[in-house]
Amino acid sequence: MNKPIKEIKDNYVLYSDLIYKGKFLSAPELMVYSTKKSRADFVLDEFSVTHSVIPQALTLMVEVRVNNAKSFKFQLKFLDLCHVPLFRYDSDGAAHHNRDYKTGIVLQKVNTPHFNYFADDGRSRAYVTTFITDPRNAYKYEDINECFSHFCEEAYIETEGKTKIILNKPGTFEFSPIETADPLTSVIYFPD
Amino acid sequence: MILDNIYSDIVASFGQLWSCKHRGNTLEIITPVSTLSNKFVSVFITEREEGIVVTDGGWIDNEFYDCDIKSLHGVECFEKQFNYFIASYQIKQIEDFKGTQVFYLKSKEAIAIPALVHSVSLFICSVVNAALVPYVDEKAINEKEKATFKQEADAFLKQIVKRDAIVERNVSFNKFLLNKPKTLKFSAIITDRNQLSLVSYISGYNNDYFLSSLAKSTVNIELAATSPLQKFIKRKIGLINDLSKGFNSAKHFPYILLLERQAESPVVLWSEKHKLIDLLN
Repeated sequence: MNKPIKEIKDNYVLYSDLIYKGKFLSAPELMVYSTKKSRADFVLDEFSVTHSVIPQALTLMVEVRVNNAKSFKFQLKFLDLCHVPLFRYDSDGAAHHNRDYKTGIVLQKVNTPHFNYFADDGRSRAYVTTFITDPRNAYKYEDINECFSHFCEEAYIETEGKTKIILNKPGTFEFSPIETADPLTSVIYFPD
Repeated sequence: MILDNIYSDIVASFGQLWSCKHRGNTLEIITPVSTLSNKFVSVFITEREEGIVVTDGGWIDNEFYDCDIKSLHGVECFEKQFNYFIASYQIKQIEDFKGTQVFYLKSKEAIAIPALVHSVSLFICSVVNAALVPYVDEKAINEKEKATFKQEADAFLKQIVKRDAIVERNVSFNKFLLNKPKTLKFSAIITDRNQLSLVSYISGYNNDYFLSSLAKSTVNIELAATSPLQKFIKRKIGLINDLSKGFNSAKHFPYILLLERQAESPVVLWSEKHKLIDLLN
């Protein structure tokens, strides 16, 4: 079992208010171009999301893999509560294990793309929506802007029109990711 | 017999946990093995001239299992386990051109692939679980950091405060402002005849420790202002260790503002410690 996050467990009413009550993102365009400190092959930027009841703002983080624009994360954080993202969308990465000892193990596996939230025991759980599982939407969940609209619906974030994520630095040429999801193209030779 | 059903159910359930994704020339296999960060382990298989290679796809290094092994560099308990897993599973590693560490096993025999998948997935799970163990005693590190800062700050104050027995100018450390009962301890008290300057050190290894140090200083400074010695206090200063890991100027700004209001004097950052020379002389 992963360790429960004490701050979330002890303040679950606040957690629920933060996630399930209305929020607002005013920026019509989100420019994402800052290189991640620990990893040069990711860009990430943070934006402020105001809450309808709670005076302090939440932080929205958008992270995109440079060589694969289909690999991205959206995270909502509230540093006054804890450092861990409270709600997130992972387009790629490992399948989540909603570990418990009451249900069948096959149902406990949640492939990416998926959403992550915290249950009232302070443990992270993953879920998928019909938007993700509907095969007719396959092309949509590879599109960062379609997914961002869906993330906003799930996270109760209202926007002014459709917010657009722009992946290039102002005044530079357009961000052109090499469209590959193959993680091994960057190794030329595997020695003995 | 019921036990027969249990066995077939286990086999069927484990069987259904396997799945795969095509990623260009690489096949991602999502295995039934899961880590304590609640992630199912994926291995990545590709065919090269040098043989069939089963790798972690760089996912450990890319923190896809919600653990950061780089931050454990130098942590002996982790490194011993990590090296033991590498040697036991005979794992090879290579850094790709983006700087990502990739762990792998390879074979020229197709029949060996399941054995490679078995070892690589268990290796990933072992390393991730070992990395998730909280090895670092944050309280002990905080105490150590606090002691180091105190030592450096004391030495600096000793050096800059011009002591003079004739004019009764002196500096004492870790001293109570009030003697009966002993309350309001300050990191340094500078006496200049009958005038006092109070310095409170603020540091902390993480946000919680830092905030509690900041809060304690604010309270002491506020209480000093209402103490019987109030009229002798010339200056109250919060000395912030801005090099400490727990310090975050944006996050701590409102707290620092409150401290400055109580102290009626701006805080001094350790990186700008030269400012103390004028303030304390």
